[in-house]
Amino acid sequence: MSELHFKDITLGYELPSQTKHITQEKITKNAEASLDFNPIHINPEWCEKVNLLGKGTTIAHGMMTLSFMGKIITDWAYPGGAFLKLLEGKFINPVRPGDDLVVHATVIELHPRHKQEESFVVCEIWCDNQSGIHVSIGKASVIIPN
Amino acid sequence: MSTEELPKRFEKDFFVHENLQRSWEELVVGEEYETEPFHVTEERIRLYAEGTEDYNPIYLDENVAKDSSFRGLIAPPTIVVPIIFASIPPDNWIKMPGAINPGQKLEFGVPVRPNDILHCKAKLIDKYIKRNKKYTIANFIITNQRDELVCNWTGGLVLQFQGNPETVNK
Repeated sequence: MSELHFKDITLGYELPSQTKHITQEKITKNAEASLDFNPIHINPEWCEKVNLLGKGTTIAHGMMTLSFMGKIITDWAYPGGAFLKLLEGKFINPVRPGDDLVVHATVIELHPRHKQEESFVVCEIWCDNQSGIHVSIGKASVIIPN
Repeated sequence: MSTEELPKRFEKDFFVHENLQRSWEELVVGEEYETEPFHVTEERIRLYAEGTEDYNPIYLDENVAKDSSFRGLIAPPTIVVPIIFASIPPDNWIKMPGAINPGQKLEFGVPVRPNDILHCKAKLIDKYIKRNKKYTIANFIITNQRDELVCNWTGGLVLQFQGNPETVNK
């Protein structure tokens, strides 16, 4: 991929969307990767027993969703010589095994700086499930040094 | 064979230390938590890349990484998650069974690289009740062996009773 140039980035630019299919196996694998073994993620029997969040199923890690929100940005930024400076997300609906997520990101702010290497853009990021419901919303700041 | 050494106190079963958990009412804003250093291995980076399905070669392929703007392998930015879970004591509220993640904010400094030794300062900076849910907010300052800032992480959990009889008072 060619280098990203701040002057070429326009408001409203939509990064290529990404899809993720969620399974219990993937959630458990994420638990091993992230060392977050909370039973809400890995213990279906306990989740059923306590009727977790009214449906009694496990839910995916919020930080797994945040990693998807980071990936759509870094897949664009890193090969172009840009850097992720900030990533934040709110997890507004649970992600459950069987869900299909679509991750979206759009450039919503341009921040030119006198020192070119400090210029950055802000992207709005959100994940929708198969019903078109937002499961997370957030944003990222990306330094575009060129 | 694994090359990674997690802290001896690390426990995968969050129920083991559940009885040592303090309630939301007992937590004091401003309290700090003892943490242990974390040695980042290529194995952990690979595991994390696999667990988040993020196979960017900059995390996994030395030849690609050395020609990138990073001049070598780095870890995905959210690799700070296993670093926190390894570093924090097993009876910390971050590991309370049933705790729900409402959102997080991560500000990044230098990237994490293989063989980094990371240190974490962890502090409870707020707690509040909103819509009958009990929230805790922590701040984690993660630095590397050169004392460079890796991540300034602010976020919390909803420490809400999930119906488990063992956590009825939590």
